[in-house]
Amino acid sequence: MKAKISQHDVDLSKLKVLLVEDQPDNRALTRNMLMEMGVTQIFEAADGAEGLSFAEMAEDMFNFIICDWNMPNLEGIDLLKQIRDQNGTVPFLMVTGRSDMNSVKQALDAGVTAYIKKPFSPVELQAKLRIVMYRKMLEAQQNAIKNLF
Amino acid sequence: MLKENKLNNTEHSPFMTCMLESVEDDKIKIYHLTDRFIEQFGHIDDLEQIVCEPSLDNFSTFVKSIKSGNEITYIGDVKLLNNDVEKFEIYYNGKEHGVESLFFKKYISNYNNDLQKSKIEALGSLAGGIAHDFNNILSIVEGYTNLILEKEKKGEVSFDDTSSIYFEKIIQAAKRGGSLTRQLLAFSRQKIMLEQFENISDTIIEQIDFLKPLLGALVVVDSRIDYQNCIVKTSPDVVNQIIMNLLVNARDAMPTGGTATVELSKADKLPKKFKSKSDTNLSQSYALLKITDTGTGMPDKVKDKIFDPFFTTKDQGKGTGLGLSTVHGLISQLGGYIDVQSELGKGTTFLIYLPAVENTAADLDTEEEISTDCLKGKTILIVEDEDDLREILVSLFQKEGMEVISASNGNEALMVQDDFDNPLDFVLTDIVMPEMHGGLLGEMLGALRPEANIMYMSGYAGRSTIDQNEIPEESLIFNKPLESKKVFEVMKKILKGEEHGEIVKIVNNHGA
Repeated sequence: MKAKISQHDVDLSKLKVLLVEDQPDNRALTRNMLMEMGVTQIFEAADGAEGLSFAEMAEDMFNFIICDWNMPNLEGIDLLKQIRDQNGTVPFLMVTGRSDMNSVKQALDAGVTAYIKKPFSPVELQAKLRIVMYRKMLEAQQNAIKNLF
Repeated sequence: MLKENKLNNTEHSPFMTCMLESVEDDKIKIYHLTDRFIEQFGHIDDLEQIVCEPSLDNFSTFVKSIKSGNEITYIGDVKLLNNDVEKFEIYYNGKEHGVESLFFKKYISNYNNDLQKSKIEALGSLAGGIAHDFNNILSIVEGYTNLILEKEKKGEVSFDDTSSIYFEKIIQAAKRGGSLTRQLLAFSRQKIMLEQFENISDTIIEQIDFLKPLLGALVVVDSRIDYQNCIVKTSPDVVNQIIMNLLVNARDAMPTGGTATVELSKADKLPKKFKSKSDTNLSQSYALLKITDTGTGMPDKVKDKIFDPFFTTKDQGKGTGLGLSTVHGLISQLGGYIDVQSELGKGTTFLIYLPAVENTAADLDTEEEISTDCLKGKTILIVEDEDDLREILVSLFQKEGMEVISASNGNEALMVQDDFDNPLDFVLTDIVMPEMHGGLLGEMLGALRPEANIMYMSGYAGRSTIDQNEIPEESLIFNKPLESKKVFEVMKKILKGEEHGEIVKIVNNHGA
């Protein structure tokens, strides 16, 4: 019965995702999950190198990267490092089977935004996306307030 | 002034009565008119004087039936003393009763009418929606009052005796409001039920004490509990609601005062008519709860309908017609039966058979024994959009020594748990929230935090809300306002791995 305007919700349809994954089946699966939750703009890259060149050429085309760790040509962790080296702040969700402390630390040091373990369910992926987007939303709000003064 | 008083004194009685003298030349002669009757219709001695359309077929059928001494009801327009015309129900009780009488009652024209029903359904869902917000408000009232009282206990503030009593009264009123909203929930067919074993012998005595002031000075309440420690599998407040409804009805049936007797005993056996209805377990023993009044009693016609929804003999605006049908629904849910015996002028007895649980004394004891300490150091995430209520909940769990994190919406909850490095033992989330729905949040948290026990709370009565938004079947759902004791008990049981019998179910009662 409340007519409250939602100020806290995350609009998943605004996501523009660069999906970097070498396994076509896995890629299709993630793509379908994204589409199910209302994400319509999805760009796909078949390995890290392709992902990097897309990122360099068309950084305005996406606002989120979902990337596998183990890939030929360029590994996910190296793609992450390269993007961060070029001052890219785009949220980066690392998809991996590795959950050992070492790997986690390595990814954190490289500037990973979030981490999701394979295999994951649609709700898990959605939760991860929401967490990242919600943080960004709060940050944006805080910046807007700061800029007022 | 005098006239007004008279009206007030008699307004509780739904009927105006007169005796039948004779039927001569198809004219119904009446005598011994009551004051209320005279006020409404004037001094008349022949029914035709007030019946607007005596030439109609159904009136002649009525007259014929009276001639032959068979009970019958006539519904038609009747002229009042002040020249108004209103639809009345005139019930003739038949020769069998010795004194043949006519009972007049304003006809509530369309309680069976589909339009009326759908109006009431719409009203029901509106009320359900309001109940959601209303429940939150009540929780806040109760919560803050409790916090004040706790401060006093700790000696941080001090009140004189009367102030403490006032605060207790506030809490009582909030609780009563809460049980009213639960009644709305119970009626709107969608039931959220926390099954528990309850010693109804105690419940009954407590509830009678609680209700006494409500029943007025004219009604004496007698209680006879021959069945001590009677354990029934029920849910909180259900037995209270049954007793409240029946005692309030008893009061209304005794406008000039009388005695209401509440008895609890072991039922020797279930009456035959109930046995045949279902495959009742033969060894099942039943408790018999009897509530008797010395009031006006009911004619059979009325008796047959009392459990129908929206049927009421109370004046318009006084009764909803939901009380007894709710009672009936609740009792069926408990696996019990209700019967009614009534005699005009003598009173009414409701007989309620409830399946009694045997050998659970031990179970009840262990419940008490669970140490209060085991929640200490455990972690809980609370998600509630109402700020005040969330703060109360946070301090409630902190008092149990728990580590509490909280969020005002689903997305924040996801973020807060992401920042939280320790294992999360419990999640307690509201279901209906402006942004993300509690069901989706529960699912996500279940995926992210497989170790967490996810519990829901809801004050919303709309059936569709829960159906459509997929709260998993066997979820723990607590009604709002939250009863902290119950919540703690359930949490302790979960920790002890004793979930059996404490699983909260969503029951869609299509029969009520």
